[in-house]
Formats: sequence, structure tokens, C-alpha cells
Amino acid sequence: MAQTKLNATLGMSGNLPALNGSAITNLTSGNLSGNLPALNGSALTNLTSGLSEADTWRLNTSLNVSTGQASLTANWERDDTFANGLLGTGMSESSGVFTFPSTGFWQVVGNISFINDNGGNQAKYLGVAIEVTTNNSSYSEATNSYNSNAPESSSIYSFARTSKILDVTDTANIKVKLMYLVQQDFAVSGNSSRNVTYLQFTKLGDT
Amino acid sequence: MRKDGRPDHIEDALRHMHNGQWFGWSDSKNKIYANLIIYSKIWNISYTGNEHEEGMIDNPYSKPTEKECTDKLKKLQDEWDSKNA
Repeated sequence: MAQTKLNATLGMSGNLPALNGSAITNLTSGNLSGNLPALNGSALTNLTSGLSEADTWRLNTSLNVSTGQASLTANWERDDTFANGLLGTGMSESSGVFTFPSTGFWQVVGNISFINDNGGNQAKYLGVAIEVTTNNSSYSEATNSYNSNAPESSSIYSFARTSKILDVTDTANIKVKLMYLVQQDFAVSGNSSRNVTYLQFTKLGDT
Repeated sequence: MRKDGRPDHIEDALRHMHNGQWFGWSDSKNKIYANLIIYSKIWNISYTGNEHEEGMIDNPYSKPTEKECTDKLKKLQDEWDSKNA
């Protein structure tokens, strides 16, 4: 005879059979009480880490620039000092063109530090731009950001920073460069020990 | 260059000789004259009104002598010292 109701005060003893989690599909929260047991990380599977790629490249040599704009095409190096962190494969660089190691959503941060070591006239703008190509040929200013400075008789420092999240669906065609835009003769600062002018790449997730 | 702007390295002299990325270092951690390199090609931009064209061109600049570098650095330091006396 099929048993449809058991009375726990009468005649029940022994151990319950092991429960199979896959058979538990619907729990009513109102019937749950007590504390959850501690989770053992080794028992957790099918979890993925949040970030898989992070890389920083910097300009290692300063240059003087005249009024106008141009891509920074030389003297790039990967950050390699002060406990630098390279997560994953990292970017590749050739003549200032940066290629992504894998498809995905990537955050790109570009920073340029400027200096005029003799002071001088006001620079109405000192800017940075991230240039993006989607066909490995023609580049567009995907972002830009500007700073300015007042006229000074002594050395002047400034910087501009910008960022962009890219959906890199094709690593052969989607690439980036860093560009300066200045209204006065200035210097773009580079350094081989510290990040002063740099590009920082972080992969946020899969495309 | 010192933080106060006084030139103190031949890189300061080099960047004041010509604008742009016409030079670099074979060892960026050891920026001495022996490691100075002059690129064969440099990025160039030419403006016509509001339009501009850019691309790689032959580097028109040649490698300066070590004396030219140190003389230029001394000149920049003297100028800075005079201005900031």
C-alpha cells in the first residue's frame, strides 16, 4: 500500500537516504531556517575568474612636439618595474599600433603627461586621443580629452587622460593607437621607470 | 630632467634638437650616448588648412656627436640657471 503520510512521532527511526541535489528543484524559503553550511571552494566547479587580461605599456622616451597632433609611434615598452602586473598574454605592439591577444570586451585607458620645461605661453589645450581602426587601416579618434594650462615662467606640468570600452570582435582588424593634440609647443613625457605616458588594457569579458 | 625643470640628461638635449620621435634607446634602462639610436623612419604630419596627412617618412635627422649632446645640455642648463637665478 502506498504510504502518503508518515507520523514522525510513531515508529520512524534510522537514517535518511542521501539527498541528490539535482532532485531538489523547488524549496520554499519560508520553510528554511538555520545557517548555511560553510562552502568548500574545492566543491565549486564551473566558475570563471572575472578578469583574464591586464597589461600596461608606456612611452620610455620624452619628445618635444610642436603645435598639432600625431600618433606616438615609437619608444613603447611594457611596464616592467615596481611589481608591475601583467595578467594573461598581454598586448603586442608595433610602431605604436596595439593588437589585442583575444576577442572580448576591452577597456583601454590612455594617459599623456605633458611638460614645458621652460614655461611659456598658455596652452589652450593639451589633449590625448585613443585612435581606433576597425579595418586595420584607417584610424578614427574614438575618444579625446583635453586639459590646458596658464602661462608660467617656470616649468609646467599637465596631463590628459581618456578611456574607451571596445568590443573587439576581430583581433586582426580592431587595433588602437595613442595620439597627442597640443595647441602650443610642449613636451610629451616618457620614462622607463615610471608610467607617465601610457596605455592600459583590461579585458572585461568575452564578446 | 629634474622635477623643477632643470635639464640634467642628454635626453633633454636630444628632444630640444628636433621635435618628434626621431631618436630612442637600445637600452631604455641605460640611457647613455652609446645606446642612442636614430630611427630610419619617423611619423610625419603635414597640414594644409584644416586637413592633415600623416605617415612614415625617412628620418631627416642624423645622429649628433656626443659633444654636440653635452654642449646642448650645457646650453640648456645655463639658460635654465639664468632664468631661475
